[in-house]
Amino acid sequence: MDHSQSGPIIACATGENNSSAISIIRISGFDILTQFQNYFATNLSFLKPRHVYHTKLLHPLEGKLIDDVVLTYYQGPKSYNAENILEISCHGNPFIIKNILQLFIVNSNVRKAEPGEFTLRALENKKLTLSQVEGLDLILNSQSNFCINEGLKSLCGELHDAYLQLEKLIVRLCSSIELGIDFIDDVGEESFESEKDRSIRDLQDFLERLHERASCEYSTLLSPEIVLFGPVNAGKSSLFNSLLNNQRSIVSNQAGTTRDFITEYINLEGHHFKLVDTAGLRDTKEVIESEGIERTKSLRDLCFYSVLVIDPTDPNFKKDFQQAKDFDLCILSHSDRFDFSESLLKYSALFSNKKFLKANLTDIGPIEPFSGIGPIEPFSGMAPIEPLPFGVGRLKADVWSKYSKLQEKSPIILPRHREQINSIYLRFKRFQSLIECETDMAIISNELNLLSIEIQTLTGVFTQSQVLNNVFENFCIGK
Amino acid sequence: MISFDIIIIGGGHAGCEAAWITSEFNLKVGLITLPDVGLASAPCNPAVGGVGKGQVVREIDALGGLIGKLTDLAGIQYRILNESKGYAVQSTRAQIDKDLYSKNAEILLSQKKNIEILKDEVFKITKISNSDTSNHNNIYTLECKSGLKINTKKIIVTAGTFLNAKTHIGKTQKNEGRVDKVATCSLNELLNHNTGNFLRFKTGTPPRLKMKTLNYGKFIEQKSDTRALNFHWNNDPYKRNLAQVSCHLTHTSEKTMQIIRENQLLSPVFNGQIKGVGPRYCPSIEDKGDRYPDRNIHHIFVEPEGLSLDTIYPNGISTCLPKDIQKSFIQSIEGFEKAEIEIFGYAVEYDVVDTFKLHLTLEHKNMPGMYFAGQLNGTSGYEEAAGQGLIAGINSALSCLRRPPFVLSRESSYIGVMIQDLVTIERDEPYRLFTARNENRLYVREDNTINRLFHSRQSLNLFSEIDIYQKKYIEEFTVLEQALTFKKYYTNQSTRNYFKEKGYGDLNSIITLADLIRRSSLNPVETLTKELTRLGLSFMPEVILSVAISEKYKGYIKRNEIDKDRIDRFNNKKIKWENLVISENISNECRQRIKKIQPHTFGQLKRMDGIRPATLAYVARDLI
Repeated sequence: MDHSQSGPIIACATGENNSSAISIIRISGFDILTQFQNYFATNLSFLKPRHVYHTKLLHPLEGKLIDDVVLTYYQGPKSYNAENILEISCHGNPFIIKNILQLFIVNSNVRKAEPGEFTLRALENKKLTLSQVEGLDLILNSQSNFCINEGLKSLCGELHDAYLQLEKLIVRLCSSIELGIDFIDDVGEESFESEKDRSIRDLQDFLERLHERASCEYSTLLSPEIVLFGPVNAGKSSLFNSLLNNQRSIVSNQAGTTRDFITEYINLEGHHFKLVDTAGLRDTKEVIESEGIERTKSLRDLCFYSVLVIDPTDPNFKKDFQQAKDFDLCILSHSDRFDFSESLLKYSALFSNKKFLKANLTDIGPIEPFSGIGPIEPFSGMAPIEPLPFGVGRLKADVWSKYSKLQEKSPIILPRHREQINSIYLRFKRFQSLIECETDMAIISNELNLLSIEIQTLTGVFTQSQVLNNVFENFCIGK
Repeated sequence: MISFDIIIIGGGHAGCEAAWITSEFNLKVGLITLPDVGLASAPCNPAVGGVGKGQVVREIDALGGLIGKLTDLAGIQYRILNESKGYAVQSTRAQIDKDLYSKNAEILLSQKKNIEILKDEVFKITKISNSDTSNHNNIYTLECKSGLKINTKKIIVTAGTFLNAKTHIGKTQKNEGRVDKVATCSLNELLNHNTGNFLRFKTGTPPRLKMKTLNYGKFIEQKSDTRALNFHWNNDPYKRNLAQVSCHLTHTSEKTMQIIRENQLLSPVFNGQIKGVGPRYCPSIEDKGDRYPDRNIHHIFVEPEGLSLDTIYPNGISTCLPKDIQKSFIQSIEGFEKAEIEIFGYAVEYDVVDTFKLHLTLEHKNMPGMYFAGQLNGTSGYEEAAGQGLIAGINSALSCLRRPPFVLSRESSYIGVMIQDLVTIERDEPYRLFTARNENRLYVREDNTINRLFHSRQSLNLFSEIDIYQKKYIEEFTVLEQALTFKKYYTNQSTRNYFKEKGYGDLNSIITLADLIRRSSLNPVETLTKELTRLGLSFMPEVILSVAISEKYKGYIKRNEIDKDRIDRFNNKKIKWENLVISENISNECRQRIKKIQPHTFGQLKRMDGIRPATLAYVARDLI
């Protein structure tokens, strides 16, 4: 993508292909507003910047009405990207949008914007930092509230400030070393050593925190999934339904009814979570089933929160329960059965075994059946399903607590930043091991210089053009 | 009317160096020096060398210059600075007998048949129209106070602190270039036209004390270091020319700083009497008292000024406070209780040339044939002055002979770093070399000076003894460097035992001698020396030193080359300083500095003092 082109550009900021009440078309980078006079019924020379005007958009040559529109003029540099920008709010019909775009492209010296070009200009004109642009990308393209929040942080410059702080710390450390080399007579060995040690400590503390943020696992936050696992007929679908508070999954007492994944969304504390019901985990020779089982296992490793539902009265319970340690939560179901307590007693040795306690074995189960004649067997046409008692609330609370803990770490999720922070961190570790055995200040200082170049890459000082291209290729048009 | 090829105005460290090297080119050289000022005198500290500066002295020596020779002839104490901090930043410093130093300069320069020393003062330089355009040699006429008129093809101005100079002690101001040495005309008067340049700098010096009035029992002694190598190539590395004496260490007291702070406003530095800008890295004691209000202990080095002189230079308390205050604060210092002052401390303001208008040869861009070198270029230090004198001298001579200019690269010498900094960065304070100014510090060391400058020296085509010596050095270096990889240690029992006995560590696989001396637990120089003795091989000690140290740094230097390209490309990117000074995103302080210095590339901006990381990051966004 060639970003070097200048001149006025046009694009629909709200997407060209969907019908909506309003769409916004932006023109950016023109010299004088009045060059578009022929398109509008209002005298453009009277337009005050950042005021809203209702007018008619006309064909510049034929004068016929194209649409009824609202205009806002942003005069550079007080605009999104420091250029002159005209925003046209038109009716959100794809045909109208295409007509207007075409009209300007054919009849004026305006060309269609490349993806991300508005923002590129904002970057070039220093309205946004690279971190801010990357944050914007998150806001526009991410699937979760968490990412949107992260994007906003980046857009508001929180990350950039942190990086500048990091740079300040490295500059201080570098200066303390240079002080010890060039001005040792003035400062003396003692104050040199103490300043150096203090600078290293401060840098280390800051970098450890940053590195933690950049290395913590976050992918599950992007689109958090709660996945229910368990042997056939253990009660997954019942749990699923009660989490959803209505009946969606087909529930029967015939083993293997839920053959494919069923997904729904639930809302916890205003955040969306995807709820997934899986096929049984039990080994089977049936082809379709075994494929499903493979998928199930990979899903368990990737999902945000995994729940294992097992029935202690099932003869295979011992084998199933051995997997419990791989899950966030294990629910023992069918407590209504006459042999439930007996079974728990039978396996009590198993529960006390520490190895299994790792599995978040919880007492929130058993899940009670919905009808008095369990096993879980709600029949259509019968009385509405009653919500589960305390169990579901506990589950939700546990999911939310895991989610908010992860969020508190305020992970840095921009891949470029994660990579770069990681490599800074590695260099710093190498620097630390170097100063343990090396007394040669020139070598130490040299290592520090390489470290500070890594840090400057983060703030954008040494950023190569490819990095920028990558950033912009992820953009859709009109932003 | 007499005629010269080259006239040097000023007989300080820059002027003497320029005269010495130009005379090697068989040109007719005139050195004009003020009648009552000795050649190469040391009006400030009686020492040559130091961190970064020791490298410069050796560089000048390797190019055939004078300063190393003079230093060794007058050296009364040698020290290796930064010894614990590694070879790359280690430097030699010598205390000198300043009397002998000056006398030897006079003797050595007088021995050169084609140098004429004229004790006179130039007050006007006029350019005669290009009468000799055919060979690009301009003719200038100089008018001297004695009535003498001189024609010359090239002029090197090395007027030091004398141009339009003014000394300050308290309220007393005199038109002097040094204390009791009358100032000369201003730069504009000398050049007979308005250069549009009114830059003035300030420097200062401490009072000199009578040695006999000091209580040496209260000082800490610092002896001369016998392991430091002499500066001049033709001297035995360790044999000193003169008896060696000690320096001593003392410090200011709470009372000292109290006196100084109470009388701060009596100092011309603080009450606005001095307009010139002083160096931040070399503050006066008044500055120190102001800048570090919580600190009352400041080191003072008690440096003898010469074997036959009974004065000392108290390094660390440069001042221009009134005389009575100087006296009272001096006597509050440990061991100085009864000290008598021989010469009072003073500050001096002087005209400075805008070095941005000079070529890398130190020739003025608007005044062809006119070169500027030394302190009037806004540098500080004898070594910096001498380095410029050498470069201006060589280039004026080459220009006379219509040969291509001589420029040292930034990558291979401190002199190269200095001159490039001088002509590419506009500054607002005196310039001093630090090792930190050098991006290539691991390579630009004291020990490998000849390796770095051999080709440059050869290119002068002077064919004298030093060239024979350097050729021999390079040959030995090459042989020994190769020997390091040829000599192998095999993993047999007897070699293992030998390693154990010598403390060389384990021997688990076949290693070379190079591998051995790179071991971080060993001192490379000692190890190589030992092994060569055992093998019965004989090399010059300076070759052994350099080969061993070079081996140690090889890997690190290679690593740097990988990143260098990337950094260079970025540093060379152009920036628009005009836009930066009106930007609201840059702090006011940074904007002021940018406006003053007007950097054109990102590298220049980065090298500027006082530029914040936030500013750099902001500017860098433009360059992506």
